[in-house]
Amino acid sequence: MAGFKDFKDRVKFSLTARRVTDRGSGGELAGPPGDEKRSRRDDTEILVALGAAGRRLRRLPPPPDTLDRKRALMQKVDAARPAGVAEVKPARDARRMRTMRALAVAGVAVLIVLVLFVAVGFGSVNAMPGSPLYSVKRFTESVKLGFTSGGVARANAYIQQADKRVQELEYASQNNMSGWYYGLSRDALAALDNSRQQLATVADAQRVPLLARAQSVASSFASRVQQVLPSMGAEQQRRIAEQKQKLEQRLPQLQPHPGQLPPVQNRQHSAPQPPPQNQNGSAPAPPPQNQPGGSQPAPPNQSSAPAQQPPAKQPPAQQQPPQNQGNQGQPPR
Amino acid sequence: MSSKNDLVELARRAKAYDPLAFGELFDLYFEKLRRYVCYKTGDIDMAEEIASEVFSRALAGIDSFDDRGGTLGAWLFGIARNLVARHHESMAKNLTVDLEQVLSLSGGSTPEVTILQNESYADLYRAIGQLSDPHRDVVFFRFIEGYDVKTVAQLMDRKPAAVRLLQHRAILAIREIMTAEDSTARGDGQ
Repeated sequence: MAGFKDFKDRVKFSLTARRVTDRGSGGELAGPPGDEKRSRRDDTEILVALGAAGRRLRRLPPPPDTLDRKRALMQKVDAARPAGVAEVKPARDARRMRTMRALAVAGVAVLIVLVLFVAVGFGSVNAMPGSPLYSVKRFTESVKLGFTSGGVARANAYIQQADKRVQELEYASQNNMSGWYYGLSRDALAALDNSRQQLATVADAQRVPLLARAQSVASSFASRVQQVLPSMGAEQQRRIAEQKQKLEQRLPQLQPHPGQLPPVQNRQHSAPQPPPQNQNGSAPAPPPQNQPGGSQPAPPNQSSAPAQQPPAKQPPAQQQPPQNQGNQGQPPR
Repeated sequence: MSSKNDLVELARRAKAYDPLAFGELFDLYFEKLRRYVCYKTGDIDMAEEIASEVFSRALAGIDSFDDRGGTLGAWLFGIARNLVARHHESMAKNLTVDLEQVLSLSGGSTPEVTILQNESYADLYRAIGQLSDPHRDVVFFRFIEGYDVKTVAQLMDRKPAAVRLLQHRAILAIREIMTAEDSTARGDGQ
């Protein structure tokens, strides 16, 4: 009976039953004072006994054919799968597949956008006013300009811009697109003025060829704008004429500063000397406007005439010797 | 395979007739269902059959299963509950006696001790056998399986507060049944 005693000590369940019985036998469910406390203890013991019963139930011997039952179930599932339902992959694979698919879609989308972007960019290069891609061309120009740094590069970009506007102005005039005249003229003048501002920050040696190009574009513009100016309104005509005049006055001021050339006395002294000596002596001076190889000389034009006017105003006493005049066209002071 | 996301994923795969998913479900729930049915019917052989039948029914009705996150277990226990109810209707067995018999199978002690244990627990088993279905379920989930209130609420498709109330009433009912039985026994003895 040792087992009986151990069990009684451990679980004490029969005691619980007896307590419940004792209280019940009195016929007083409410019980005397202290009975409530006892009932709570009884509840606790019932819970303990339930827990013990649960532990025992969980120790049920497993059925021997569990694996067979599982296999049979899985075969049943496989057989029951409708024809339309695809076989499911494990969650990790499915998640990886989803991620890969999303990445592929995103990559293709980015590629398409890039191709479209590049195609539209290239297609818009030669767009003319009135074309749907013309605004793209202007936008691309401004973006390019935004990424251009350095006085020379920016001046060059502005000159190219002005040149394009002049070409567009010519196209507009050929196609009687009078609505574009004022805007294109204004933009061409603005680009030329911007190039002028950039050129002012550039060293003389780099400035001269660019200035020549700017003057060339300015002269082209002057000839074009004369054709289209009568088609503009009076106010627009006044504005364009005013800006053009300002530009024609300012551009020549960018010619290499006379102070950077050798002093007049030295030049006068060196006048009898042979030309090579003279070139050595004027080494610090920038190259003359029309001289640098490859640069486009400014065509003789009325609009560019002001650029060559200052030398005409020089006093005859300071005129260059004959051998230098033919070289420059701008006698040093 | 305990987190809610895992259960949702398992349900998704099961709905797509994935045999592996059903295998995982079997591993997760077969023993629990077997214990539940055994507890309710007191018939260990029948418990195995009914637990297997639960999975067959689940396979047949998987298309109509509406997963709202972690309710797969509740759905399976619901099927088991229905099968047990049908079994009770057809067999009209005395649960209390059979439950004692089942628990004696899981003893592991000497036969002598087991007999004494069964005698000591007899009142409790009889009381449980006389409980209403919801009370018996809450006793099983809370005290036999040891689930927390939230899980039981999910399994029984009730609110946690309702589960606490149900549990309290089940304990009261057990006490009253045991009291009544003991007083009857004393009256008979006298």
